Amino acid sequence: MTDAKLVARDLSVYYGSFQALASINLAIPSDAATAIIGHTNAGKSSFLRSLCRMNELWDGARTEGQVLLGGENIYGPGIDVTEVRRRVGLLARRPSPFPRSIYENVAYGPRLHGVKQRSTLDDIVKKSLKQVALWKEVKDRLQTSALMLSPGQKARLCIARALAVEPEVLLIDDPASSLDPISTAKIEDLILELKEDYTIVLATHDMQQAGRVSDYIAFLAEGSLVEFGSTSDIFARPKDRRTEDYITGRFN
Amino acid sequence: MACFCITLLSYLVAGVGVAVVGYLVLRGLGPLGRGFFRATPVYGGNTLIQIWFQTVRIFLGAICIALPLGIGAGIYLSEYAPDSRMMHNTIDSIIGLAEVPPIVYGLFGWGAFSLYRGLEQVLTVVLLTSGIWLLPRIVLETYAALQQVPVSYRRESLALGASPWQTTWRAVLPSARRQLAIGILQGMARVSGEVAPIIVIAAEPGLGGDSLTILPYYLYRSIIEFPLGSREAQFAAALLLFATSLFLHLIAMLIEITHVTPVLGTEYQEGGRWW
Ligand SMILES: Nc1ncnc2c1ncn2[C@@H]1O[C@H](COP(=O)(O)OP(=O)(O)O)[C@@H](O)[C@H]1O
Ligand SMILES: [Mg+2]
Repeated sequence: MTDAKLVARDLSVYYGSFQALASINLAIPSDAATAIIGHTNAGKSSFLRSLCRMNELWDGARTEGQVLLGGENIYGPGIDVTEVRRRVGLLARRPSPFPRSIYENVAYGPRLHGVKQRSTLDDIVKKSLKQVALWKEVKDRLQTSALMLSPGQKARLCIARALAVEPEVLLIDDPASSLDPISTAKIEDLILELKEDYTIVLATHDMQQAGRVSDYIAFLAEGSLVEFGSTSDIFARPKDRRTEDYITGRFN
Repeated sequence: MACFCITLLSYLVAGVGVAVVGYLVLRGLGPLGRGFFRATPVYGGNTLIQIWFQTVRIFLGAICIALPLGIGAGIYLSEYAPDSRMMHNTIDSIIGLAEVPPIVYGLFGWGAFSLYRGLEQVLTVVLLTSGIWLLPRIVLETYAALQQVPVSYRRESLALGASPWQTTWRAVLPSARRQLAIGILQGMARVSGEVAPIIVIAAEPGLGGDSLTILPYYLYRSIIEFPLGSREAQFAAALLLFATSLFLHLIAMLIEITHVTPVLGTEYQEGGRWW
């Protein structure tokens, strides 16, 4: 296993008195794709959000434990939350572009972080859109509204928007749940490319998808980590009965 | 049958409206055209156009007071105030304030600025009072406009590493711009023709309210003082007043018409707070 980029230590998430994640311990390898799999309500989204300090935006949400990003606890004192969120990008389950032009959507992040020069912004927009294979489709209409794009294009635009702030980690929440199969396949191709340069954490309920794109799999059930291993190991020799049932499609 | 009655009733109401406006235009347009605008002093040595300018100045002054405060408070309540009982009580009381009859604001303005603060300039007192009267409306319009912005925009912005203030300024306000402008213009239009608070203030002898040259007040005074006669000047003034408020409404309507409604799924429509 390569170095761990993100390490969860006794990570618990509560919503009010309800515990959604119970003491997760997991090291997420650098420059690889790790899939977080599990049934609906297993806590996949909560886990992703707690890796980039987004969970605290939800009503009554509370996080305990540690998340180490490059060795530093992002829940520690004196941490700049905005910097954590810049370094760890989150693609929401249904990514929504801002109601403005394609260009402005991608330039939004760099502008936040102080990029003002037009030519620099142009370069960032072009590079980011190329990274998500959207440049050819939209290069002649960068100034049109992003809301006119198809759902699949919107999802890729949101990935480009996240890439534009030069994150180290990309958390992608269940893209298959809101997209058609063709768009989902494009996102999967994208993940395969991006994992060369970024650490990717993909939440998915789709075992096949996890098998296609991920190098490692973590299986969550009812807020607990059941099993973690390389994708081939998990498929070939699941240690836990629940994992085996999930892989073979025997639900509960 | 019920449906037919409602249709009939709505035509009746529309008919009455058209009749009122038509009558106003018929009686007012002639005198306005015949030079009431420039030449003839109609009131306290002022021509109609001077009175109109004075009116616009007062309301611009009131807006300069109410807009920054009102928008600021609206932003705070929508984006930053903790979601507590106190916050909801605050909003409820602002709704109450917006519904207080304008004449009560006049009484308040008279008491607070003239009696208590000892201001002697009637225009200043009217300006401050109008500003305070506009305030709760602007707070509510701002609050409502911001609450319509989907939570997802705030989350997406924060996820890119924006600070809360950057999120308000760059993601929320631009998305609420049109709604904000429409609400504020309509609030201003409603306020621009109101005379009740001014009457109360002008009745204070120490303030020299006689010299008060504001369109709605001029209309009121000139009708009281000259109950008979052709009323040409009054109709001209009424038409001018109506046109002013119509103008504000028209701008608001233009903004509304040019607004392209974005196609969004239901989940995206969810407005409100984000923590
Ligand atoms: N904002 C929230 N408030 C209260 N409960 C929540 C909230 N978000 C998630 N939960 C609960 O936490 C559990 C895990 O949810 P989630 O992380 O969305 O799981 P998954 O993404 O695997 O479906 C679920 O039982 C869900 O109902
Ligand atoms: Mg989920």
